[in-house]
Amino acid sequence: MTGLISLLLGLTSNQINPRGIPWRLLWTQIHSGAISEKDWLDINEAFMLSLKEPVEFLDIRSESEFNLDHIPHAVSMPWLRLVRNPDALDTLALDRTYILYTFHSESAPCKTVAALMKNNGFEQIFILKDGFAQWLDIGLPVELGVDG
Amino acid sequence: MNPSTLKWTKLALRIAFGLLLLYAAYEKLLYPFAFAEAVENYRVFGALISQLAAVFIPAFELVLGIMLLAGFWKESAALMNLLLMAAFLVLVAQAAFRGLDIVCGCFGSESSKVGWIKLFENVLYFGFAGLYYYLTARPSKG
Repeated sequence: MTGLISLLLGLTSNQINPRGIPWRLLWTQIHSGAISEKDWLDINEAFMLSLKEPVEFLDIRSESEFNLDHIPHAVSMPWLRLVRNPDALDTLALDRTYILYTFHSESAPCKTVAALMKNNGFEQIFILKDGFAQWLDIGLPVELGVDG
Repeated sequence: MNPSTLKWTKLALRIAFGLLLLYAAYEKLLYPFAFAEAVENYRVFGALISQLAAVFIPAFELVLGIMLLAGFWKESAALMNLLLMAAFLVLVAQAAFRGLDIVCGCFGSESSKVGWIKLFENVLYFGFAGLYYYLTARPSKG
C-alpha cells in the first residue's frame, strides 16, 4: 500500500516538476533498450569519425551554458527541455550522425537523450566521453556564445 | 528499560527518522535526474533502473517520513524504515569496499563522499532503525 502510494506520488510529482523525469521518458527507455559502451566516443574517436562522415555536435547543456561557449558549430538542444518536449527533435535530420555532450558528459542526461533520439528513429547517435571539459583541457578551439 | 524511558526513546527515534527522511526526500524530489545520476554512480544499476529509483525512492522517503512523524502504522513504518536503511547500507558498503570515488546522493547537494566515515554513518542509521523496530515490534508486557 505504502509502495503503491509512493509510486503514484513519485510519478505524479515527476510529471508536474519541470526538472522531473516524465513517465513517457521512462517508457521510451524501456522500449529503446540500453545505451552500450560502443555508443561512447573519446575525442580522438570523435575526430576520426568526423573525417569519415559529416557529424554534428549536439550541446545538451542548458542554454545559458551554451551561450558562454561551446564546440564550434554545435547545436544547442537543452536536455531538460528536450525530455519534456521531444517534438524539438523534428528540427534535426534523421540520417545525420550526432555526437551529444554536456560539460562532463554526465551519464543520466546523455543516455536519456540518446535513448530518446534512438526511439525517435535516429540511428547514428554517439556520446562524447568526458564531454566539453576534456575538450577545453586539451585546448581544442571553442566558439564563444552570445554571452561569452 | 522502564516504560517511561521506552516511550520517550521510541518517540525520539520516530521523530528523528521522520525528519531525516523528509530532509533526504526534499532535494531528491526537486532534482530527480541528479539523484538518478548519483544512484547510477554506485555501478550496481543501469540508467533506466536508476531513473526508476529516482522516481520511487524520494516519494517513498516522503511517505515514510510522514508516516513516522504522524505515528501511522508504527510497526509497518518501523520495518520499512529498517529495510530502507539496510538497502542504503548495502549500497554504501559495496561502494566503499570497491573504493568508488563518488558522492552518496543521500541528501541531494548536501551529500558527502562515500568512504569509511559515510559507511560508519550508515551503520549507525541501520543500528538505530533496528533498535526502533525492535522496540516498536516487541510485544508489550502486561
